[in-house]
Amino acid sequence: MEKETSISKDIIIAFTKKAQEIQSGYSLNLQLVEIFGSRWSYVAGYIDKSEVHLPPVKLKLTDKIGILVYGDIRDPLIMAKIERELLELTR
Amino acid sequence: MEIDNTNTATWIKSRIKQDEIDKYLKDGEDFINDELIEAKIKSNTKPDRKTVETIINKSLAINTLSLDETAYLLNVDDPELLSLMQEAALKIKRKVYDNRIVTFAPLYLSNACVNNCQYCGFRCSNQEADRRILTQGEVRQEAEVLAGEIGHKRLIVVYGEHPTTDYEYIAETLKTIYSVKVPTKHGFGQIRRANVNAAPMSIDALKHLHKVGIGTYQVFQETYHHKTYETVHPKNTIKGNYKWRLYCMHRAMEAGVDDVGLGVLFGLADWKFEVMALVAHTHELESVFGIGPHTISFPRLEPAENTPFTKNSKYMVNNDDFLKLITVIRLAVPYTGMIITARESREMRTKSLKLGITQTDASSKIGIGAYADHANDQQGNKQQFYLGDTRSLDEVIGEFADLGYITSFCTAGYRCGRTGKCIMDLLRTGAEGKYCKLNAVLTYREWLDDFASEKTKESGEKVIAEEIEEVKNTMPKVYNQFMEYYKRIKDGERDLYF
Repeated sequence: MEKETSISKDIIIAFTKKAQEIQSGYSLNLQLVEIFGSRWSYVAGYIDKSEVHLPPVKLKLTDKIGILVYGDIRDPLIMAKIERELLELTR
Repeated sequence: MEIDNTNTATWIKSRIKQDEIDKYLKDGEDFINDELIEAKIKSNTKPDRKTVETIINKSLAINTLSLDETAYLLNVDDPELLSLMQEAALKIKRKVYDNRIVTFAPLYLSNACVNNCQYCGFRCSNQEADRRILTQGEVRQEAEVLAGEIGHKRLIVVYGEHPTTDYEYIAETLKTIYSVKVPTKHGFGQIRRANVNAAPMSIDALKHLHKVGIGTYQVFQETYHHKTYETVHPKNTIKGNYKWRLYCMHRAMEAGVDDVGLGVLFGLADWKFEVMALVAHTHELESVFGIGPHTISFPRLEPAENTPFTKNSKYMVNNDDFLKLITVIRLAVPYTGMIITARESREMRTKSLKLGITQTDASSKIGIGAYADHANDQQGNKQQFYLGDTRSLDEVIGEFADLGYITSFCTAGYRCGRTGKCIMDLLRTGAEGKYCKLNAVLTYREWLDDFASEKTKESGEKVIAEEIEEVKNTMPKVYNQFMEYYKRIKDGERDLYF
């Protein structure tokens, strides 16, 4: 039985595709979350669950949709580009 | 706040949604088969060492045990085998959750209730109970004491079942609690995770609570034994409906609330049966939703004001059996959090630490409005039962430190997407335990600096030093970032987490 989420299937599919591109291009792992106040509830995305990771960068795309970005993020321009591309998914 | 009873009868009639039970039944039956459970307890006897070791190895690999395996362990009486089980229980806890103990406080907001459970001091026929429902202002005062004076960051918020404290009231109180921010010695205090212990609700009501950021949704079946359930919960009450209560976690998960807490009130029926039923409930959730309970609780029946039932049950659990049931639950559901509360004596709580407990409370007051009232004595007519351990958080943390445990106030998983299905793999691989260690140190630092007595701080510093050394040796990749956060917290910043 699937968990209820207000994020549409289209967004989840589009996110999963984009996350794979970003993983290949920048070695960053992304997770899509639904935001409920301070609760960021996992919806989709991959991360190696056998090890502990540095704290993710938390991107709040909308009031309800967030992204957790795991990996070595040094270039702010790349980060800004990723954020723009992800924001497009929500429109 | 005024307790409005005018529409109670109508409200009670509308409460249970039969379609939100029927959709989960299989051939019209619920998933607790009393005869099957009793048969398995009867037949899985005389466990030999080899069988016990095989079962333990399965637990150590963080796999849920079957009902037969659970029954075998329940029937172990040999002291040597029990000792093996206890050692394994502690090993499992260390693997999954490291050596941290999470702490929280109970916050009772209302004791108006339409149910009439025979064992409860809040039952509606108990005329001696002093009924109260806190206003939002009073809720705020309670949270300010908890966050600003004691230093708690996690709560279990408890409500009776009544139209005046329906899901809209619960949602408002959660918003109020989360909005509290109180200056402390060096930083600020906040409640970062509010778990809820309340009546079963509909899917729509639970969606509403999910939206405002509920933590764990905790509903105890009280007893899974069908006949006993009928006996202690009058038929004409909402709580008299066994299946409405049993399937509330299905509804919660379907509503998106993927952290759920199961529990039994031990002392109502045979304890071995109840442990088996908890495991059966776990199997059902795993099978339908891919995830089992976030926590399991096991309160024992305790004296309550004007509640003779609590003194007369023939199923009271003695201390040895209580420690055994904790051990078996730890082995049977290795990934779940396990909560022991201040209902229990200091002695029992300390003993249970070695059996895999992961959460406990302290500085607990369970009277309605008791924190802001700074009530020192227990108040029978305002409490659901009497507490066994009334020590302060400072004392308990000090004792834990002297025993080598670090106390954690972590709420990171909830805020980083490590919930529900996502956390299951993390728990099984031991990765979550590493996060536990990091966040335990960071939140412990906050608490020591803002709230600890000199004596507790001295004990705490020793524990922290050892933990930091362990992070350096076992998690070199994150050590620098971890130490940066640690330093920032020492400098007064708050709420930094992995």
